[in-house]
Amino acid sequence: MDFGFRSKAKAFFVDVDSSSYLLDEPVNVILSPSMYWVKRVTLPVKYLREVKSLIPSLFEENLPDGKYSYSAYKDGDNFLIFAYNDKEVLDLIAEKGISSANINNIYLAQSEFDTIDASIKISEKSVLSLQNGVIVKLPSVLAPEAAALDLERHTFSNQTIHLTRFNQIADKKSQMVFASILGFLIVMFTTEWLITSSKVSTIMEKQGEVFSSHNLPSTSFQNEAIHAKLNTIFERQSRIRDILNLALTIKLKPEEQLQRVSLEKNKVIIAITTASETSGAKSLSKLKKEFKRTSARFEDGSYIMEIQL
Amino acid sequence: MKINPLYFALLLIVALLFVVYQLGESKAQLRESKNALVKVEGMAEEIDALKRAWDNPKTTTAALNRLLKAPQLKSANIQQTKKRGLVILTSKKADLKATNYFFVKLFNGAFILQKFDVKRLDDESLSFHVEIRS
Repeated sequence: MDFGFRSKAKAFFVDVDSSSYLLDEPVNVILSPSMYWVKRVTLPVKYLREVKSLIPSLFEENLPDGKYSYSAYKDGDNFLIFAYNDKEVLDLIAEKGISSANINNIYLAQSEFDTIDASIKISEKSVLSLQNGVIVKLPSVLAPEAAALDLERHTFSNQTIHLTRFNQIADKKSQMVFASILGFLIVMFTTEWLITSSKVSTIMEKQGEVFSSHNLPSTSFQNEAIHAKLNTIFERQSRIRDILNLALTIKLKPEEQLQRVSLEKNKVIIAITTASETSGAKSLSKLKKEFKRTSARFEDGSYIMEIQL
Repeated sequence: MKINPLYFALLLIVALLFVVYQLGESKAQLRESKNALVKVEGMAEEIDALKRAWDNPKTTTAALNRLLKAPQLKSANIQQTKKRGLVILTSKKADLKATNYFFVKLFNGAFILQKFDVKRLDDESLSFHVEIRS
């Protein structure tokens, strides 16, 4: 089925004998038969997927050592099966000046030229020829009447192949093991993440419960304000008591007397009757030493000390 | 469509990195929440204790009434008036013993002292004015 979305990319035939180009545009690559192995087989199976699992054994002993990818498609009552070495193909394509980023699709000469009537000249030395339904590369001397290769108006088939260097690094089994390990780690960490998030939610709820169990407002902000207010009261009252505790336990000289103790807005005032400023300062020196923000004066026989809260 | 295994591996690695990052964030949040809970519990306990001591008008009034009924303070003739959330206690003349008893009880109790003024009148007596927040 053709929906009319055929690629507009240029077609490029790749063979070991092809010339090199510097192409910087998307291209569709057609691989020469010299780049793959092909077999026409008749198998008692119905579906292509069943054939694909059999391909490696069908090519056994025919292929040189190396790692191969396989593909197949149905051709009449038979199946055409292919084997190719991804790395070798990609290296050749790169050698011919085509960057892998510019490759649109890769096709096999078999699927693209299986309806030719006459041989096609692909280089000075070689031609493509259809032999028993299989496209093969032959020396050009065997087909001197071969037509020139013209890909300008070529209509591509649907039979593309996918090449990857990854297949060369790790085989399918290793890829599966790697993917399984990553998958397991993802599942494990996701589970731990979900458990941790649920613990965070539980703790958040517990915070709200702490306030309600103490009959406090629901937000930390309100409670911090209450705490600060009460703490200020506590600290002020503690300081008042500390000052008075020391002031009332000071031993005065026999001629001295505690005259006045008072608390005003931000200060505690202690007044004693004494003979002189020096004498008063000496008697209340403990207070001055203990509480830093103090001021003192001597008026009408009284030494008056003010301690800031 | 065949997916390039490299893209699939990349997707898994990105997913793994994302999950590991989220887990790290979540663990940090858990640590913070635990610390915050300990802080909140401590603050709630502290507010509770401070409220019981310093923000309990009923207890303050009851304690003050009990104190003023004490026989030791009868001679001081303490006058009590209430004004805008304050209890004002005044004595024009109180002996040293009564004054001492009154202030020891006042300073040892959780009364919020707003203002006071104690003045010596002579060797044996004093006058005082105390304002307590009720």
